[in-house]
Amino acid sequence: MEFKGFMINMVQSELEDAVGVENVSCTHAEQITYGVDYFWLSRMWADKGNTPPAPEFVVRPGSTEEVAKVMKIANYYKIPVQPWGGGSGSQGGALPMAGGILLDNKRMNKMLDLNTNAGTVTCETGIIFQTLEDYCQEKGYSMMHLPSCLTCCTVGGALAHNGIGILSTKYGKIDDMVLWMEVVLPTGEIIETLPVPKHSSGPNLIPLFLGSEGTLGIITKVKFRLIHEPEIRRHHAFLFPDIHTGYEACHKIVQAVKPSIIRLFDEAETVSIIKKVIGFEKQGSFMNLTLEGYKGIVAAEEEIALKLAQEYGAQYLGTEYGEKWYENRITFFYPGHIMNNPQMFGTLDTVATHENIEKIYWAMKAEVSKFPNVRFISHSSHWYDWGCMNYSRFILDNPPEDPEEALRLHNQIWNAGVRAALANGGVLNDHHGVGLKLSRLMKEQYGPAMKVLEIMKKGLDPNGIMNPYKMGL
Amino acid sequence: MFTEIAYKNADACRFCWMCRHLCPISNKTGNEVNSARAKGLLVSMVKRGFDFDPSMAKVMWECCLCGACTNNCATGYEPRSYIREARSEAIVKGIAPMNVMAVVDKMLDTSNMYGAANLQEKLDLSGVPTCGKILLYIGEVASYEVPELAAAAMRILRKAGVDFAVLKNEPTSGAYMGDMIGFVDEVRQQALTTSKAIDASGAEIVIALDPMDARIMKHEYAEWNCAPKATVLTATNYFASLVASGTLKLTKLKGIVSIHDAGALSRDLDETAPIRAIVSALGLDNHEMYRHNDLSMSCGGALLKQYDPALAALTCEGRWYDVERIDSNCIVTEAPGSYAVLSSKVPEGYEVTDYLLLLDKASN
Repeated sequence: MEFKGFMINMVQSELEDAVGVENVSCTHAEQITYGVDYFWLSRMWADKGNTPPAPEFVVRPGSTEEVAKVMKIANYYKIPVQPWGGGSGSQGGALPMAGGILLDNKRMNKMLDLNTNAGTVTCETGIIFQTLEDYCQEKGYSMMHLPSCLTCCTVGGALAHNGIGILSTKYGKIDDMVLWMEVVLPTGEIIETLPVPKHSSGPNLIPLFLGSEGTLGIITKVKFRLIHEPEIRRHHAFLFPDIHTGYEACHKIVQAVKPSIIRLFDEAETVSIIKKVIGFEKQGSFMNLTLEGYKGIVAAEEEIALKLAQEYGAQYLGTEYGEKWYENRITFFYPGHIMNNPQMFGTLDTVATHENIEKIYWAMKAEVSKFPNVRFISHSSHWYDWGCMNYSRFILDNPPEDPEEALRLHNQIWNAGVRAALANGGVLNDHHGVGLKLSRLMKEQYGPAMKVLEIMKKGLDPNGIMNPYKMGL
Repeated sequence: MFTEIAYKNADACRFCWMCRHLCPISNKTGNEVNSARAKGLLVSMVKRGFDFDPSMAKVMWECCLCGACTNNCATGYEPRSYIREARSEAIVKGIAPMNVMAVVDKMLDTSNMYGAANLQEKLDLSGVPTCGKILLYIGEVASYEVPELAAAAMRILRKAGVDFAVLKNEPTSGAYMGDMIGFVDEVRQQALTTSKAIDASGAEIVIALDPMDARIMKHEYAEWNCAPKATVLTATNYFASLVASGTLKLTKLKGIVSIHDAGALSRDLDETAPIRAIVSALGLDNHEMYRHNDLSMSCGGALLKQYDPALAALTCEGRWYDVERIDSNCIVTEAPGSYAVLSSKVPEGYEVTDYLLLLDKASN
């Protein structure tokens, strides 16, 4: 929006009154920093020396009440508000594409209560997830939510896009961990969900805000369940002849036992990333599996899992490579290991039933491979008894130099990959979210059901100020 | 402008968020610009034609160069390389913040961050020779800001029967100046001056009381071909050896403490055992903070306290919170800078001491 004369200064002084003078700013350094998140397009844009999208105000509230004040000011002036947690999202969900206010909540970083008797932890949502995990581990507990972005994402960011961690197959997605939330609505009211997450006391509000990516409100506090650190955690690795037998075996395994980790890599990822990071050199479809909990139960589960894998022709590789994968689970994401500019890349993660997941793998691979020189690698790493996630990536080593051309090609590849998933029983995304990246495809995915989301959006955010252009809302 | 090394590191860091959780500054300010990746991004944008402006310059000093990010990097990138160069560049360009320049001017005038004409004015050096085989290198923080640590160190050496010398008008090592203005010529000249003074003392062993001094003498001096002839030891290492050999006899103290590891020791010099050996020999029960050894969270440091005391206090508050969560109410420091900062803001019901004060108290 455009401010005339000294109106921008009037708004700034009002925001300063709400959160403190020192917590409202917008220096050139901040404009650049907040205009680049983990989204490939924002990175490419900066890499080419272009000016990143910038807000008019960076506002850093220190409490729920201050967030509410900011929202009321933003509503009065109809200023867009884009919540920013760690900026580590890959979907452009936090980018200030509409200018206005960028609301960074990392000052709201307190652990409010760690109750080992109740097995719960309550915190503000601006805390870095690893910090919260550290606090839990000090007491012998864990959140058991260990995403690759653990060290850099905020709790709020993980809630906003309904994230997932590497131990999800046993402990669940973040929506299985949340017990209660406090939310500031777009119009500034502070609400709480009911005290428990499962009930028959009317519709559950938690799933409404989880995964809403800052379009329906700002989650300011949350209570999670806590889990004891396991008595034992044991890693194994297998090599399947191909991805097909791997899918079949893993399907049987997750219906029989409860691994914390089960990651099945296709042949292309086995000979590229797995080889590079953990030094495994053979061809085939690598799979690592982790079982954890009480020793006796783990021993029984190991016996079953090993037997099932071998029934599908798996070569048992022992514990070494499973341990190496676990030790290096974050190494994959450091510079020199992860894809990086000028390469073009994207993660087309989706989720589907066991019946459909392999169909999606082949359909997506076929569509993406139609683009010249584009490589496709894939693994499946979050499993349910009913289905699993597919984490497929496209990589183009030499994308167009021109940023607009690169953007166009990037979106074309995404459209093709995602449509292959949608046509075969998949969804837009499994755990990275929709953001700016996939916003245009939301209506295509939901069809007439999109109306429900639009009505909710209109009711909660009548002025349409919350995170514009994101999630199709 | 920036060197290729700085740009290479900045380009690696600009899109990498992995060390964010270990940054003692950004975790307290909550401002995205305080992350290592933001600083990398800003330097990389300068490479891509953006003007290096005062707002970028200011960010570069909102960092205590504790090395937690560097230590964490699985691929060995070094954010401190471009942050130091950015500081040099900002000073040359005349865009460094005023609070920074106030300290830079003091350093350029006096070679110390306090602007003290005589750094040793608070020390009682009567009877201490200026030449000898064992040289106690006190450093600017223990000389001027926390002279009680220097005094304790000298008493301990005397109790152990160690003949030691202290340089008269001890020149600063360049460690803090190097952090403040980057490793520029002025710093290398300072290093040369200090190295020559050490050689002239006839020292065979230098006991560096401040790990910051030990670090620059062991690392950069060697790189700049001006290493002193003497062997440089950290004071923690030297005093731990006196305790282990029985040369320094101790009476047991009692209590629970938590060791605060200084980044210069635990990360840059890979030294975490001597302080623990000393604390154990003192009969104290060390309850580790969750972030200890090379993962230790910085408390801000003596230099940050000089040019941005508010940010240093905020950072220090973060470290106190680490001890508040465990069943200890006493932090033991191993570096004068840590002691200077942590003792300036002690929460009610807590205390801070230094291993030198403890050794002095417990030795006969």
